[in-house]
Amino acid sequence: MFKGRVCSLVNQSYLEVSCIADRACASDDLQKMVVAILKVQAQWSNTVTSDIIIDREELEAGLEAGHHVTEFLAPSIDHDDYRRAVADIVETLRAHSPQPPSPEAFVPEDLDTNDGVEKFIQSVLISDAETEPLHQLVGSLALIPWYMSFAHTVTETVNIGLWKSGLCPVCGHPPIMAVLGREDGVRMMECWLCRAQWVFTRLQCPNCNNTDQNKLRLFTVGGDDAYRVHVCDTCRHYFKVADARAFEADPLLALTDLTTADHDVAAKREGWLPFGRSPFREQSTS
Amino acid sequence: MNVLKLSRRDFLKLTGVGAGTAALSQLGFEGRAEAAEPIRLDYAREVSTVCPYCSCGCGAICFVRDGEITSLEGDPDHPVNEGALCSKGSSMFNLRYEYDEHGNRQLNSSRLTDVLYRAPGSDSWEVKTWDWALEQIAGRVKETRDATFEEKDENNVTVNRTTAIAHLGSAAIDNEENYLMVKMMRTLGLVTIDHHARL
Repeated sequence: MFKGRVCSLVNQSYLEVSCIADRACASDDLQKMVVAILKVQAQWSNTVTSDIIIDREELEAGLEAGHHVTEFLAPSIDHDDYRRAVADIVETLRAHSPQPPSPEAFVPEDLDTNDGVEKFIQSVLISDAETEPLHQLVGSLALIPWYMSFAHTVTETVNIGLWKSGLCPVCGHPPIMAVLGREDGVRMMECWLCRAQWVFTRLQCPNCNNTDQNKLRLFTVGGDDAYRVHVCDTCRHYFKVADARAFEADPLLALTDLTTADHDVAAKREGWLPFGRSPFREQSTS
Repeated sequence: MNVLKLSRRDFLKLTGVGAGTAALSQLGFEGRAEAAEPIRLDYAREVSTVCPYCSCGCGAICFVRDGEITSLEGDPDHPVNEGALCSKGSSMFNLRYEYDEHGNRQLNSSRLTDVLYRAPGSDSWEVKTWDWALEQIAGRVKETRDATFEEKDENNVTVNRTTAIAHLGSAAIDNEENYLMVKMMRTLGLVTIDHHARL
């Protein structure tokens, strides 16, 4: 049984999400917007197909050697579909925003060209600091369904449990957060882009791989042990973890990341640097 | 107490932006500072350990806050148990703490912290040092062995043994360590050697 997995229920879970967390650091309106975005992404993920040929032995050998899957394969993104996904994302953002700008402000002017789409996607993948923040947000959100579908196809065949890094075994991108499994407390990282989940050792820093327990700590905010901020005194980075054993259902990390934004503020006030990435927070990678 | 309070700083509760992004601000989710409220941050550590009960050596993770263990769970990354703990391992926490009749946690009063000695015929325990205890054990083993060692039995067969000393143990150490223990006991001439695993 593979230890790593894509959160295979995530599509269905996101489509069924109706409740939001009672956490003051993220308003109801913002959470509803994010939930609507997650549903759009789930619908698109169910629509796009990943026609890729997988050489399982090659990919697993690559994983063992520290090479993520997209070093060998990449999702195929139809430009017209991507533009339609962007349009859906923009429509959803505008419908839920208190003061949305005009539709043209959400996307670059050259998105109607193939080169424009390619350039847009690349700027999202490398988190280009020159890209307009709103464009970065839209481009990221619209790209996720293709990578989700790709990750789902890959993890049906390839054993990503062979991977030992804090970065995603499928696409090499940083995680958004991690969750401690409900049954066994295993720490499962979740990729911000393809939403693949993989096991990462609990007593190890996912950024610098430090295993010295005297230099690994965590803190909780306001006595709530369900959400933890793990910190490393070696690399000075922090990373958020939700304990699923404290909840009735598995938390959806794309939403939980937003509703625990107060933990990010606390971590930064304490002088910790962020490890991880989320489209809705400030762009930050290791 | 290792608790960091932020009461000297304003902790901004942003009703919309969280850590804040320019993109969300452009959508109208402007953050605004509400009344400053002290927020308590509690630092802790997760420390790995090994169950002391049997030789399986299951791994556990202790949650330690201010130098005290506050909870314990199986280590999901340990190759032996992968997060599971048996009924004995699950009670490891009680080596340190027990609960009174009201359910309040308190130090386990049954836990020994000193070497205790009860002299022959006595009805009380005396606290002794480790050095004293080890000297006594070594001295009494030698004295007993010297007094009871037999080179040949009644049939004049060479036996080189003492039947006045027995050894019991151990289920808490691995096969390699047990091998060495038995080797030492046999070297002393013991023949009454048993194992205390009754799982």
